[in-house]
Amino acid sequence: MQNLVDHTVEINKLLARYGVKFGIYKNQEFHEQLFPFDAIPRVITHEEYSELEKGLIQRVDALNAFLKDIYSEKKIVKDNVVPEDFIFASSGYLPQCEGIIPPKGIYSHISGIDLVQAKDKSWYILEDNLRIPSGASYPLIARELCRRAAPGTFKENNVVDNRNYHKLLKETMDYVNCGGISVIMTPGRYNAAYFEHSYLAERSGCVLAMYNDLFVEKNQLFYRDYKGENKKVGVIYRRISDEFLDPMSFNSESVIGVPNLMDVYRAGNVAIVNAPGNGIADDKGIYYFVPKMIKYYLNEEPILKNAPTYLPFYEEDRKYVLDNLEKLVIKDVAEAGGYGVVFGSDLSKEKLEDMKQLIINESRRFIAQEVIDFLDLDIMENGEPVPRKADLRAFVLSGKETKVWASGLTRFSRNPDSFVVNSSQGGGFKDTWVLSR
Amino acid sequence: MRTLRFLYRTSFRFQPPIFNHSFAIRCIPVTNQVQKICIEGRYVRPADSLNEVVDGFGNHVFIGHIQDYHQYFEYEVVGTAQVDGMQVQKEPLQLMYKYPSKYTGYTKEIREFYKAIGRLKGTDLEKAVTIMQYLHEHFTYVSGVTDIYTTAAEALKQREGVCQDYAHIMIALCKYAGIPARYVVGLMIGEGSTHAWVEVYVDGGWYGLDPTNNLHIDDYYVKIAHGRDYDDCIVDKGQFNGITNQQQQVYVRVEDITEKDEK
Repeated sequence: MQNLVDHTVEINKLLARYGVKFGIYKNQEFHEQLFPFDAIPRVITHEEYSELEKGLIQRVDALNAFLKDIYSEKKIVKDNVVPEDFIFASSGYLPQCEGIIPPKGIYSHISGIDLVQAKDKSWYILEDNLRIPSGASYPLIARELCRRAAPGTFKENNVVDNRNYHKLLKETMDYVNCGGISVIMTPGRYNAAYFEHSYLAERSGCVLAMYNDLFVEKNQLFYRDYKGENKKVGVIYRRISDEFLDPMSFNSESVIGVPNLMDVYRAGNVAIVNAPGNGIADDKGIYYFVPKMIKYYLNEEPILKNAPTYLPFYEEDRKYVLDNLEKLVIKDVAEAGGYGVVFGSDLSKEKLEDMKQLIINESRRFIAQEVIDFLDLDIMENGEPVPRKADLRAFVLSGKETKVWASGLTRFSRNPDSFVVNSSQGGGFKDTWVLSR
Repeated sequence: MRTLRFLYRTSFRFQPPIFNHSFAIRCIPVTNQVQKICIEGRYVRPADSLNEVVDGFGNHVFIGHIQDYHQYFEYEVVGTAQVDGMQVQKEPLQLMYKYPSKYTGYTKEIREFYKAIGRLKGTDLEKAVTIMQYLHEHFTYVSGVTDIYTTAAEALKQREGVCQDYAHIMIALCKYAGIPARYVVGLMIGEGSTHAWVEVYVDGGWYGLDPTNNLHIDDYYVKIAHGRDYDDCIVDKGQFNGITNQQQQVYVRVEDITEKDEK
């Protein structure tokens, strides 16, 4: 492992050279920044991983069942397991998707489930990302470079080879393909994750396309190649949010979408990865209900725990939240990417009162969670190992079967006082080792 | 019961011409318990490809694409509608119509206006009618002061607007009062363009109310599309390449052709 750490600088240089960057919009300006890599890996033992794997598959299966239910029969609402307010007043619910059953009934093909490990070694789910979770390419290319820097390390330590991500991705896309080529659609190089789009296309053999390469005719989706020939598209892994996907169904102002794509999809002539409308299942308000979903749809006990969460929507929870606000973390349901997260302990007395008032007035807008005592991971700083907060994004792919990628994106906060590890907030990342025994 | 003959045509002229033009047009009335539609003719031209599809709200949509340069674009639908305004469109409630949408949020203006109406009495339909009457009395029809992006709250602030604004405000107020409501686009006898009104869900069915005219929907209306608000029922949406001047002409004619003994 020392061998790897000694190569940290070279690996980071190579990452920069390959354009492994992360784009951030700040004050409406686009900044591209490097995603700093720390060479000390997160190590997940074989036993730990088997448990995680089972739990993640269970969770994603339940979330897929939930999405199918919400856009068709809505049984979980009729049975009062999830209050209807949490569905129909949420911006994640898209009525345009009503009645659409996607190819093979899969909504979330690629799920990014964020977890943290507590000091007592138990894992907690922090949030589910079922729209267009990014990040798989970073550990993928980092592993590639680490293997070059210290080839023996991985065999000696029995690390599971994670370089199969593109195979999993291809398998998943092929399974739902409606006949035609496979496309990864990117909004272009000014997107935060453009590196990832191009890298995954290259690795999986998909065509990388922009909006102006794609068009709808005879209720089919076509790709126009560089020779001007039209090819039918059977599956589109779109790295563009629902809002901009089809200006005829969603935001009319979008000029980076494909007009009438939703109609092709509704007719079953193309698979969209991930399905539009998934935002209803990874809403922070819905998070609270995921363990209930697992029982409801699968009739199983949840294997992985949620962080202890309170919904001010329920009177009992609201009372607890108002009484204990200073020790809780408050999250705005509508925000993502580490925005809209407030720690009660950081608030002045005045701000605390303002927050309480806000929670009383807009009780559906927030959730409150106990602060988890994270198990810190060491990172190298000026030649010394120092502990930092870190999380893990696990990637779960749902095709014929639901599979977990034996790796993941471990992100850490470079700021010793911060709990927020999102790359959009300037954090770094590590390789994630899953041991084969 | 009446028989109406309707013609709805929109033509566009683009100068200079445009290309790579995609469109989605909601212009086809659909048969339901209130209206029996017989389409006699319809076209969209030019169009390389044309498909008729149904959207997530149940509306019929023409979708298509024109690759080549063109300076005219026109669509037309002609037909008859047997309308029985005494009927109700019975169907299970879709829960989305209970909650605020982009144009129909419960803002301060809406809540205050709602309070000013006073205590609502009677059945939900009576309550909705009270809301309609109050709105009709306190809002003035003025064209040109609002546009297609104006929300219920913004229109209410200035107390002036067009049928779209009347409908949005009434929908917001009804939903705030706990009565599910939705936006309707259609044709009305005597109107030179499309009209917008409201449907409220009472006792398992949708009742039409026209807040602009303070009327119950009767035999003189032909419904084309419905949704949560304007955004879900846009009659024509298009996207194309080209910097152009666009002229639009809308022609609507609705005639009563009921035979005397039919009435």
